[in-house]
Amino acid sequence: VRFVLAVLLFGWALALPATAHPSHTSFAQIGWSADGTALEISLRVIPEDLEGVLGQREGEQLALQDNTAHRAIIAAWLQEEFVVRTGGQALPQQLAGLELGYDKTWIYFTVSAHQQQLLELENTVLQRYVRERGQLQINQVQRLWGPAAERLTFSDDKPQVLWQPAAL
Amino acid sequence: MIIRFLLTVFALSLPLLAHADSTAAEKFAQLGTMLDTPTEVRLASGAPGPDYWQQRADYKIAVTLDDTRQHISGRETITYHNKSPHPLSYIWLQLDQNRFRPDSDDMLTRTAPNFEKFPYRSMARLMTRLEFEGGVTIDELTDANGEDLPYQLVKTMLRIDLPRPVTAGESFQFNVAWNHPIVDATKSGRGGYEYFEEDGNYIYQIAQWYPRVAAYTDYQGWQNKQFLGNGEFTLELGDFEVEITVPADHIVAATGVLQNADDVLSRKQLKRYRKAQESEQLQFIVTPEEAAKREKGSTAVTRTWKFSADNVRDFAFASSRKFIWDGKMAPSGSKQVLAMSFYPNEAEPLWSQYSTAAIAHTIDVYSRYTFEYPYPVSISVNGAVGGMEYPMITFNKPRPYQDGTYWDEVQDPSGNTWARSKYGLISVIIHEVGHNYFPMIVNSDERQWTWMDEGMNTFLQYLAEQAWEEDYPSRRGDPENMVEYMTSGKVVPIMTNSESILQFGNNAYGKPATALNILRESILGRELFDFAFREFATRWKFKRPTPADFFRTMEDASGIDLDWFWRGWFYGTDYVDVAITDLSLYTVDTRDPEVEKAWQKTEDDKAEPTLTEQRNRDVERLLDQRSELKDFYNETDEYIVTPWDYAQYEKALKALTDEEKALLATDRNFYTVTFDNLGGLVTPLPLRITFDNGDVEEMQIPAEIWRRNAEQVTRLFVSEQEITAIELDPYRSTADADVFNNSWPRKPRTSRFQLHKDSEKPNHMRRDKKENWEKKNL
Repeated sequence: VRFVLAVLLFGWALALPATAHPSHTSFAQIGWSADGTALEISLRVIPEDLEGVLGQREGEQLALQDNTAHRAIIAAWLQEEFVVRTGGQALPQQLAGLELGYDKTWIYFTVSAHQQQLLELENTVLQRYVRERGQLQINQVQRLWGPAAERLTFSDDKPQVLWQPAAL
Repeated sequence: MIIRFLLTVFALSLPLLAHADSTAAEKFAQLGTMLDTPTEVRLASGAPGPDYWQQRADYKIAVTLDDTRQHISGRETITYHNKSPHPLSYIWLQLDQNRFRPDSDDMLTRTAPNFEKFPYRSMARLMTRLEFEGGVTIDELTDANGEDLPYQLVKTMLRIDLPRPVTAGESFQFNVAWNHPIVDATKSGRGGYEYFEEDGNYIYQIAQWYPRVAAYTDYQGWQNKQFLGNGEFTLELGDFEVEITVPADHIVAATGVLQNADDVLSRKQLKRYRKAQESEQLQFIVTPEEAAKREKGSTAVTRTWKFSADNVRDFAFASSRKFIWDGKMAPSGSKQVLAMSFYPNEAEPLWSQYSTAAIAHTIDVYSRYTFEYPYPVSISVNGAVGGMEYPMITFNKPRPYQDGTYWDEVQDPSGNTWARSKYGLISVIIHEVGHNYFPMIVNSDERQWTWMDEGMNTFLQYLAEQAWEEDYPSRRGDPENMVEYMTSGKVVPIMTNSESILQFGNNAYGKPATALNILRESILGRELFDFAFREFATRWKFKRPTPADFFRTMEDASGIDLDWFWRGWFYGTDYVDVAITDLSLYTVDTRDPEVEKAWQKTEDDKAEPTLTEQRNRDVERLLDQRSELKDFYNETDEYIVTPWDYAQYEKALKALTDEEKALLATDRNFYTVTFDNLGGLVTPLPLRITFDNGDVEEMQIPAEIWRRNAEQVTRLFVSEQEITAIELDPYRSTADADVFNNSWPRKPRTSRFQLHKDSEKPNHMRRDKKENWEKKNL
């Protein structure tokens, strides 16, 4: 079996963990837009993990800033690791905003969808990146239309039903 | 819902609505056999007993660092003191560097990586580990007379078979000579080297580097957990005299006190070193300019630095010609400690501003909650090791990025801080320096229970961070930060052995820190908790506690049974989620017809007319046209009090005592509130109750309310005023997973996305200067 070597150009010693054994968890809150044509998603991730995975994709170390270039990188990454599907088709996303902080980064984006569709979510945010470091990434999703404690938990690449139309 | 109740029927039964069930009995069962049986070595109070003992090992070491091939070789004389009541026919040594042998258990038990898309960095790490010929070579192992001692190598441990048993109270001296290559710390390891391609220099952070006597304890005998990488170590306390030979242009930092400063420092450096020992203002002993100049050269000449350290359980050191060196005196209670930092110019300007300051702050805060820092020095060294602790010396990694920037596109040229590097540095130094208290001094067993040092230390780290500045962005300690981990399902108990933990950071650092914070703020209160925690630290200072000693001491010193708490938070995997599911109002039926009929009329009038009633309001009815169809029932007001009503009331009163008559006049509202325990973990119920006159009352119901029914309880509240709102856990102090079911009436949910849309504003780190947020970024 041949495998792909994603190239990192430099910067190993400089990408520094800000905390010992960081808590590798992400949290997403998902609700419907007022007109019911899009999912509005707020995704919280650990900043250094996000910079790590994006740096890996780009082949260079990243110090995240809220600018056009970095938004484009984040948007492309989201299309791969936070995928809402209907009928096997990935639905288009639109990045809406960023909040960069010391202890957490929030990413805001929308996914065009309809409430008549069965929607599945494949949430592999940071899983491969963290697993390669011998750790386990836990991704949780809270659906605003359901009880807050009934969260979806993702620790692998298996999709889960995100939204089920009433008729189904 | 308002219910009028007859006092004689309901008054006694209301508080007893909870019923016994098996889950509650289990959750509130005493820990009993889950803890070791108390003995005269370890008492039932959690204190060391009159028969308490622990071993001791003193070391004399001479080590040479080879800067040309990244190798160390050393010779040591160990004097092992058998303080146990047992004869020992062999002694075990730990050879942690054998973890880096290609055939080590650590390497052999690694599971396969995901090759679907394998990053270069991971590939480099993997290849480094596969190709690195690490491990210890034993050159000599002899007794005090130079006679060879037979030994058996067992992976990361070595057994010395003694010519005759070392009896109780006896000492045994032996010599070991060894050598091993130094690992590249940028790829792996808790110590190692970092190479700087730009100038060809190295920073060495040397740890777990010499053959060390394994722990022999009353609870386990010889320590027999092989080193796999996570469970750090547990060792015996002892005195160290160490001579470190390095290139003559290197600066060395080490556990203990420098014994030959006159020999190894220049006259100028010596003067500054002495000044630092008299000043609470930061002094450069080696300046950035001197370090920059030194890193341009090299030498084949060597120099030997001598250190002495008393009553430590390990010894580590760092060496480089790149080091800047600063220091100042830091108070710890009545004592003064020499706080020092060693770092390259690449770490500037962050390190000179924050490293030594963070050491001093840690010693100050930790000492308040435990005991005075007992050692003379405390050191922070910058290098490739992310964060690691050894007695008196810590290795801390954060630096500014190479171009000196982080968040903003335009750095403020007058500023010299970069927030994430800054907080990352401060937090890791607090954490690693804090480890001097746990486990370097309170000498718990890291191979068995990671949480005992990492969890307690992370808890104190949180207190120290919050004492650094208001709203310090602590990553651990706040209860709400643990919700996602605790509800994830991928959880093992805190009491799990160090090598089997899933989610190491959450399990061993975050959850115990949160648990202790909740215990302090919401269960015992600060005064009781701080007393008990200090008692534990003091009891076990320079001794070796087990979890049972901690659990027992906290109960013994606080006077509070906490078995349910340890059981739920440390032995269990439930989470906190309590919901308010019902509220009912009961008021007393006075039997007085004038009062009751008026009350009934008021209640009936509150009901809004139905749609039909509203729409029929102007419709002409038959009885309006034909009054002959009306009778008594059409003419009589049901709310009018009749003589019969009075007679019944009189009759009822005659049957009552004076005390019962007074109770009938009680003007109180009786509320029953039902709480459902959805998460399973029993918890106190902090409540905020709002009344119709605007008064607000806060109260906390102890967790014991769940002792008969751990799934659902109903609590009675009696008040003169009507309750308009009840909120559970208003200050997010219990790690409750779902705050939306915590209030009556329910509060509307607002999505994070909506809040973001409503508050479009620039990155908070750019708001200080107008040009930053006026500039068009996108």
